[in-house]
Amino acid sequence: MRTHPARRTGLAALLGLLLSGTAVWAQPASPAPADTASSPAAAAAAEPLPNRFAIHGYLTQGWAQSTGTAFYGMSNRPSSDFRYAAVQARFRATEKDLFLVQLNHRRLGRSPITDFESDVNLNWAFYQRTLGTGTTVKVGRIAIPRGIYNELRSVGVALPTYRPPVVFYDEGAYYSETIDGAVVSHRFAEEAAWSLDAHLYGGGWRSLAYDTWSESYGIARVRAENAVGAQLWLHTPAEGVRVGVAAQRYDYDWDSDVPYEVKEWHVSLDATRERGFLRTEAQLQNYGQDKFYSGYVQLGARVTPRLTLTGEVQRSRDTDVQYGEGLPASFEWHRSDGLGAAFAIAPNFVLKAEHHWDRGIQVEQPADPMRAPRFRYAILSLSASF
Amino acid sequence: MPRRLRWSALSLALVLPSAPPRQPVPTAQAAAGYVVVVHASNPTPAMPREQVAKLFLRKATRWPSGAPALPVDLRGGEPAREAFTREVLGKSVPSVKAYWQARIFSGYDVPPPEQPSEAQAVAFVRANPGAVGYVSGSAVLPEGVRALAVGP
Repeated sequence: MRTHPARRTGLAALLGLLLSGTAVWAQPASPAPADTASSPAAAAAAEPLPNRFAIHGYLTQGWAQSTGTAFYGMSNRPSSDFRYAAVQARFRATEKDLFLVQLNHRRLGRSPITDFESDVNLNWAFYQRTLGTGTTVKVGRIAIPRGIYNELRSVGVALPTYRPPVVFYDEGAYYSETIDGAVVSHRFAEEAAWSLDAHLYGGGWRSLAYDTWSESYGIARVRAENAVGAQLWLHTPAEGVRVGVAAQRYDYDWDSDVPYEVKEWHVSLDATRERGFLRTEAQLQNYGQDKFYSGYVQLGARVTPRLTLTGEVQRSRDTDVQYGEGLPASFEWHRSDGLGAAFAIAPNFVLKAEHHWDRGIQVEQPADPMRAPRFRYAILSLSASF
Repeated sequence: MPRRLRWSALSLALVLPSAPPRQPVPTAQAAAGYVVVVHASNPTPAMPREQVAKLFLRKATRWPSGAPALPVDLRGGEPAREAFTREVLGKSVPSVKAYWQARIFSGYDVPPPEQPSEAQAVAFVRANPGAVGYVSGSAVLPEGVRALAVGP
């Protein structure tokens, strides 16, 4: 029985906040129309901080089924136990000071991943200071500004499919959404046609690691420490088109083993236009005992103002393999092709249906890379936000 | 003056066709269905469309003078918002709302405050020297605000 009474209480509180209505604005965004036109100094003194306090939230409820292989909680028995939800409270104390806390909740059907987390988790908690140059410094638990989707992993209303490409971004394992540490961000040449966003971060995080090639499937909590990384986004003069490069290194501490160093490189292209989008990313993760390559291409077409069709291709491969007796030096880890449709009933209320064709060992059961299981899965989901 | 009465007076000033305009309104913008308005003390005479878009999408946060910019939107459904969003931001209102969903839930920013009427948007701009808003092309601008010419 997974659900602990205390967890149920926390879940009720989270859902209560989600259902409590629209965004809260503690300070009216509309000031009284004082006659300040002739006195800019007085007006400046009275200038309000719009959106001083705000609460936002999102929820995605999914129904999913696979053709048999255990894959992120799915099996051949359809289940509605798939859900992402979060409530975000933001308080802007001054023009330069911001506090933000986000609680989240995740259910992944029968996945062992959710055995490692509570029904309600502290997702983000950070303080942000804006320096005079426009540079921002965040300290606390912060979404890692990495790649196109890492900061939006569970936000159904902002994603073309139920979740970001899972072969690439995974789901709680080998890839962290957040960092416990600090993130420094700066936009260079913000008024120019070409501008550059730079993010530097350092700290550590918890994630999961799994073992699918042994006789029994295993999953364990791991901790990354001494992480440092950078993400650069070059914004082009073409609206919605940006190119990213990123790199990070950290020490993985798994059980009692000696921590080992991981190095990662990452490139991204995001072209999001009014009529559709093309997003593609590739990365190399060097674990020392192997080099893991993964990538995807996502193409979306907005066929009507409300309906978007998305196709995606994901691939990953493990090379230079020096672990696991009997494993070849190089093998395909996982491949996934998917088609999906998203219908926006409103910008903050989206219905999605998708189907995926997979083959590989990024599964939640023992799997032999030489006889990787082939399977399909489908997800129907409804996302809302306020 | 009670607040309600003052709003009403301002609303009348905006809609009465017989009142002479106190500020010249850029004809190209007006023909497109919107006029960008700033505080009368704002030293910026004109801006390229892309720069105005960056202010409203918070991709830029300051005026050329270095002063903080404070954009204000009209609520969705207002014709001026539809026109401004299409012509200046180059997007549809639902696309802009989707953009803000992503910004909010990646922890970066929240959208500009929305005002329920043009009168209140103008009052907001009039009360805040760094503010920038927009009204319909037929609006008559009161004292304390002026039109900002938006270039291609």
